[in-house]
Amino acid sequence: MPERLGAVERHDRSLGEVAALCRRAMRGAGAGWSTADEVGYAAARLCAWGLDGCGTVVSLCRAVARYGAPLIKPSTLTTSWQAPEKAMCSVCCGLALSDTPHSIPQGLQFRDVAAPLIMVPFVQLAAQARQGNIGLNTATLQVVCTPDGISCAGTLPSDVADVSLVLDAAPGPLQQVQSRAQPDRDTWATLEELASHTYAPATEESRAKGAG
Amino acid sequence: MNTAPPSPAAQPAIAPLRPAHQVMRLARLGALHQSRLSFMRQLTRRIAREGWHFARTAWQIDENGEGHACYQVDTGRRRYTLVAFAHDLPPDKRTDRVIAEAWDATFTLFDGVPTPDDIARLGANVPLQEAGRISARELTLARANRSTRIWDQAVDALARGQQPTVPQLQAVGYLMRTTAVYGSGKFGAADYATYCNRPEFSAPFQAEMLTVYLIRCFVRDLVNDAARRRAPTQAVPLGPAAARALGIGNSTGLGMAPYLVNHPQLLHNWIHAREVALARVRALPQAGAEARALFRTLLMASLTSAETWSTDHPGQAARIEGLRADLARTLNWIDQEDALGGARPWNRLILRAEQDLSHEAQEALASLMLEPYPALCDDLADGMADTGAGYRQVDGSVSAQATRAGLRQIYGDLLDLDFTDPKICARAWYTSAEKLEPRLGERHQEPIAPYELPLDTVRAAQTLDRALAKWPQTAPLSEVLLVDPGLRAAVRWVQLAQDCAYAEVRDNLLAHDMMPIDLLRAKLSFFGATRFDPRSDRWVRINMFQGAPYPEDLRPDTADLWVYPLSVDCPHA
Repeated sequence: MPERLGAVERHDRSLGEVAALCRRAMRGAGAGWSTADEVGYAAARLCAWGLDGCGTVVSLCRAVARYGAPLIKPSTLTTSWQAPEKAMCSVCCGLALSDTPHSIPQGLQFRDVAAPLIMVPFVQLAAQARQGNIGLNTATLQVVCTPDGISCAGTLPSDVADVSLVLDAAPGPLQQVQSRAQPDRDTWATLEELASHTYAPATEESRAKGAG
Repeated sequence: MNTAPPSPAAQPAIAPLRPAHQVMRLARLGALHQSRLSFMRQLTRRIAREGWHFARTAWQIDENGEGHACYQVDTGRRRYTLVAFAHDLPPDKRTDRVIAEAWDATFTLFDGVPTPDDIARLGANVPLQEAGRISARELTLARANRSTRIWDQAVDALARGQQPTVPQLQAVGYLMRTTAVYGSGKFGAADYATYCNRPEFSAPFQAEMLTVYLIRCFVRDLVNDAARRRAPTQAVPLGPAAARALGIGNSTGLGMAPYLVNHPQLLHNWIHAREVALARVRALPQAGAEARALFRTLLMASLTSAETWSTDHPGQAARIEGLRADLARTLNWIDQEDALGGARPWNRLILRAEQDLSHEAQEALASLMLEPYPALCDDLADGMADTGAGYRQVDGSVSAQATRAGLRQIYGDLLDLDFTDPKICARAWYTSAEKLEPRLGERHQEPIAPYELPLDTVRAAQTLDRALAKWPQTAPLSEVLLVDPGLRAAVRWVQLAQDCAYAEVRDNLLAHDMMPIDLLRAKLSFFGATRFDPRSDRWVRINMFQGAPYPEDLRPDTADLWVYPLSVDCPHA
């Protein structure tokens, strides 16, 4: 609880606020609304697991701004995915898995994934759907997604990293679920700046039309 | 009067549900009325059933009418406190617009009993509303303004030792109106998921409804206090009849309009509960004497209500006139033609209403015929919340062909609309930088297209349909979405609507003649609002809890039918 009179702790945010702002920030960075919706969801889930969902979204937004809409070659799932000359979009990779939870082959690898942590909520959905664990590893981070939650060991990956999946991995202790997020102040300000690109400037005309 | 409650082994018989393509049209959604499944009435029934205890635990309003008050609720398991801040607002600062920066009163519902430190923190933030922060200890954030027409009249009358006159009260119906009631994590409040498993909050919007109910208690005290300050020895408090005649008004604008599109599962749950209740009643082989008597009484009460339901909105005014005539005709059918006698009378009544009466009357009668049958209907309230994560996974294995069939089945001819026609896509929804709230603009006249919000359900469905037409028909959606991730929202909508028929509004929300008040009214009817008074096609005034007993009078025998003007000592209408 806050110590200073008259000021609520600035770093405390509801998960609803996280989802709403990250959705807008992703849109403001240039993604479509469909993808932005998914990012909002993923960010809130990551925060609920005590991970830095907001920082990850900033990283993803920067990748979108740098690489444009990252491409994944559409094909049936082979064992290695890569987007030549670009980083891969973690949202798209994650969704590809949660869209086809029963077709994930063992040993699947993704090269050069931007903001790879964003994949985790979708891999966890896939684990739920297939009622089996799925491990997600980068060079520094080992996450195991189970139908009931995730376990997490190691350190957060860099902005772009290779990701490999391990079906039926054994989890560590599951991350405790939290009901609030504690994003970094600068991260939040960056997200707000990105989100501001989605707001139309008011005009006298729109006000006069009883717009709201 | 009532059939026996449905036993676990046997669900009640049910007539066919009204189809979604009939129910989910804006014209009908914009004609919905409150019912016994509405959230306000679910709250008052629960309060009475469980014997919640209410107490005003603080009153620190000074001689200028400024300060704070606390209203505590004890459910027997938990306590909640409305913390209310009263301000001395200069008239030129008073506005209902979302761009307002100051209000006559501001509120929060605290999850527990606040300490003096909490009160100080809230005092620094709640009056600022969106410009302040609240915490996980707060469930809602709200603000209200006086109705200038009636506030001064009421204070004057009470200060002279008299009651405000009933016609004065009826003309407006409230002393103060809320201009927003925020919950669900907004501005730092607790997320709904953190309290949705508490039984008292298992129905939708209960925290918000409780907030408004307590605000009504505060407003009664505030007007009495204002009169007492003006004339300490002469003033009288608001009498019980006058107090009951007053609800809390609300001014609802476009901020609420996207809600139904953004919460399709929830929308389906609400509509479905009411439709199942209606279908159960329609299946009844006959209507008993008590049921018929109650229906007739409430029909007459509804006619009385309709007679004093006024609005300057020409479209709505015409509909109210039509409603009065249709309700009078219905009364005639019952009295002259024994319409409620014979076999399956409720079913026959609905069918006849569909033939001969307006949407307003059809939906009023649909709500009314649920009233004699709480045992058949009230259990359906349990299914109205959406306690899921609010996220629905896409099934990527579904084929293009099956998806196109689903789209055609849900949207029908809407899929063939010509969105190059300026009238068809005249509008665009966007968020304004000014107050971060949704607005509806004219796409071809304002520079808003780059900011368009994804509320274009029909156009998106068409885009999906045309994209899928180019794929091999056996192609799974997972492959389509890899190539075109922008189709995902429409895929999610169609997959949900195939399971949950009432999830989708079956109208083009971009059309030049689309009326956002239709969306607002649908949601507000489920809140339990009455006296819909559109101020334009984009915002509407309503009344909440008008006629409801205050906590000291809320008992199981008064907690349910208060929304109808029934007794002589409740002169509201």
